[in-house]
Amino acid sequence: MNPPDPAASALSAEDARALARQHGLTSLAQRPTLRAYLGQLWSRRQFIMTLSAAQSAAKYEGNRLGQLWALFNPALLIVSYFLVFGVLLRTSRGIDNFVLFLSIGVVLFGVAATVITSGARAISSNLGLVRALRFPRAALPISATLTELITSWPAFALLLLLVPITGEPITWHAALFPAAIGLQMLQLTGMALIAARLVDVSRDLANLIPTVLRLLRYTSGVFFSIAVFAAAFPPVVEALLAYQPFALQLTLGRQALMQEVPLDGGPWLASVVWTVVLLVGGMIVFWRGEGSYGRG
Amino acid sequence: MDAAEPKPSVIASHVDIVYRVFAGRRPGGGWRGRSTRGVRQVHAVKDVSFVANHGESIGVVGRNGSGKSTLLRAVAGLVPPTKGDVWADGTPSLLGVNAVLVKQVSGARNIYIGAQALGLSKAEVDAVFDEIVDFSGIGDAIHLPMSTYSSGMAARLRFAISTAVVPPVLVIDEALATGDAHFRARSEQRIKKLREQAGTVFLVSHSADTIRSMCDRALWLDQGELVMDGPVDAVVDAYSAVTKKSLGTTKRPEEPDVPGVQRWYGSNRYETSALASRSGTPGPHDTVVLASGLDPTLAMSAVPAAATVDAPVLLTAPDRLLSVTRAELARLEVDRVILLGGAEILGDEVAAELSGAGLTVDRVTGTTAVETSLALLSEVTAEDAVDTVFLVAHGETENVLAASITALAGLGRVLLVDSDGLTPTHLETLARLRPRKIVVVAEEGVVGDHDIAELRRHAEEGAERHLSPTPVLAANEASLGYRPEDVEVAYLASASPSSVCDVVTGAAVAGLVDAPMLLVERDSVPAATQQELERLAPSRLVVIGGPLSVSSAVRQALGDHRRSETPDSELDVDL
Repeated sequence: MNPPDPAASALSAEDARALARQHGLTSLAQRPTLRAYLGQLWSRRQFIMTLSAAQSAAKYEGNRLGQLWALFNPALLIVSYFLVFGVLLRTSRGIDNFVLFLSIGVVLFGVAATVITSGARAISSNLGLVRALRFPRAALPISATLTELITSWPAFALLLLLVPITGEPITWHAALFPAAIGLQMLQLTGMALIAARLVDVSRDLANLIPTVLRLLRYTSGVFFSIAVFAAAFPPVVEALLAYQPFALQLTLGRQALMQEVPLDGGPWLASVVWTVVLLVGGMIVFWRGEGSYGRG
Repeated sequence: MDAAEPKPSVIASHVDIVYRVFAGRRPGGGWRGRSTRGVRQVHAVKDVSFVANHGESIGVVGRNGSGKSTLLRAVAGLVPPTKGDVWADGTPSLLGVNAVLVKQVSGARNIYIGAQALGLSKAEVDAVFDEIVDFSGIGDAIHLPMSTYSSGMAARLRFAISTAVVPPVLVIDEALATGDAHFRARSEQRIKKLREQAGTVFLVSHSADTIRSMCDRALWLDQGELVMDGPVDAVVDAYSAVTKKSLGTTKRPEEPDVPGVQRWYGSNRYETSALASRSGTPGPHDTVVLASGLDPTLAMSAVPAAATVDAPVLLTAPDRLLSVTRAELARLEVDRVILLGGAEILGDEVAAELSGAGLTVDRVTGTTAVETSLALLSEVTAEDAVDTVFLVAHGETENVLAASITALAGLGRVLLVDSDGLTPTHLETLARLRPRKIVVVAEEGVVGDHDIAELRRHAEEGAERHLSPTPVLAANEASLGYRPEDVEVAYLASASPSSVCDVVTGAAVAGLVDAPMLLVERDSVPAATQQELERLAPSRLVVIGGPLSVSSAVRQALGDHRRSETPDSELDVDL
């Protein structure tokens, strides 16, 4: 009743490979080399842009005020932080322009938190795409970063607006602000890639992310000066707190916009090192899982 | 291989695919104390090899769960094989029913996303944009978010996007079943055109006619193995011959396919039970509960208990074992069968047949349903804490359904009573078990108020009478315990008294995979069920029972509640 198919049974694994090679077929099972993978990613750059723009547009789509929320949300958050930390808890010790200090912290850390949260869910929240189309999956965590960058420009504009409003002089340092944002985005891309892989390996890890982010929010100097508050501890504590990437991201932003935070090459150099480490590391970590994403 | 004429486009060589499923059953309270949480491996595709050539259109046939979709996802490069290799010409694209892209944004944006993911540049998408919109027939709605589309519109758009580029290999998973006859005809034409352009098309469909009309070659998969590969007519003939033999007559009234809403049924309750088990419980199970199909209320009352020990419940005729049931027991790799009831309920012929097949047979003995129910509850050893025990009269089918579905969702148990009410054995058993709570689902005429006062002493949180409104509402209430993000599939059956067996079958499968079991009417979806389906928005629905139990119109209506994308809930990023 079931005649064995001659073509299939006659074909050993070696013959199959030879036949595939002869006709120029590519293996779908094997992971591409890192180099080829990066090439595939580059050739899908327009796709990544389109996806990011679409996801950014979708964010406030259901709201009557639409994209204005991209401005209102950070503004309201800054006000509530100011009430809690500036007025009630007075963590403003040692800072002259606390409003701007806090605003930069709230906005930049908010961006980081959003990217890591959505980056971790980059695969699981795009299963429709993953299950239907074959493309380098790194496009998804990368697009999480890009989406946030596109969504956040009103918040960045708000920060620039606050510079003159809070009486800060406008100097050439402000030109470094885009560079600070750029470094932050690249670092976040690396982190999003790592988070996406980790959560794909074990979904349970996604539950830890809010806690980790909360811890980072309280230790990265969002609403206090690390230098002032770490003074009571050995200097190594201050170094650890100040030179972790999240704190550096805020420091760089503040150096660009605030006169009381003097321009200093150390943090910039450290940031560049972090950027390279996170981006390269994240890309390798994520690439090694290619082929297993969204399985099952 | 016959000469160098055909040019291969896909080569699959000894492909094995094993994937893990998370058995998300809550631990604790096991009947024999075995927690079933954990990861189970499913061997979906076993050593499949074939060579597909340019210009070929290949149909894939096989039962539900035979590995068709998994194999095709491997061909599309979406699932890497665990063993073996797949080679393809270029990047294959998969067109499946579940492939919604980004549903919060407009169809227009999705065209760009989808087509660019397929490798087109923005300019190239600009060039084919109008054609895609025209072909999909969506019109001005293209600028509305995809979440507002009906499943038919979304499927048409996906089809149009996937075929906008001529993919070297196109994989279609039942997508043609969607849409009206007009769209179907146009998509068939489009596929013909693709083939002329030397592409290869793979098509999975339940409809033998679709496969015959669209394909020239077919693969037949059964339980992950490639049974046959050859010209379409030969394979489809052989496949239908075998399915007819094992399913009895398969001449069923033609029913339009509804994407994402499957219907599982056989020509009688025993077949339905075996088929649903086959489709719904992929992995092996060492223990199975076998119940008489002539006493569905007794079977139903045992479903919650069976679920806690991860045992499927199969229905059988009381005096013989049907071949479908025997085949299903073999497929489940069962070691031990628990017969529900004494020889008066399930004859010794059945027990003898099972023992003859080398299986361990245990009986939960009782000459009546109530005695059996008591014996079943007594199986609970003293260490296992029993949550809630629902006391319900054996004769009141609606109450049994309501109580059992509620018990199933909450790890409770159902204990049957006669119309004369409680017996001393009931009180003894309950006194020994000390459940957390006792709920009496019976009128005062059956279990009086002073009985409840008596029962109160035997449960930690006391006893109360709770007459559930209707089985439909009870099922909806039980379903509220599920979070939408955990629900992949929901099972449905008719609440009408003539379909009790379908509910038993559905609840047994749902209990094993920890999925909600909801009820509908024969000709309508009750408002409450509709609301619950909207809340859960499962990506897949399974209707248990034929068109005579749940009408085609209801199945069609259910199609609109399917979730076509994962939830877009945002994790909070607050303080």
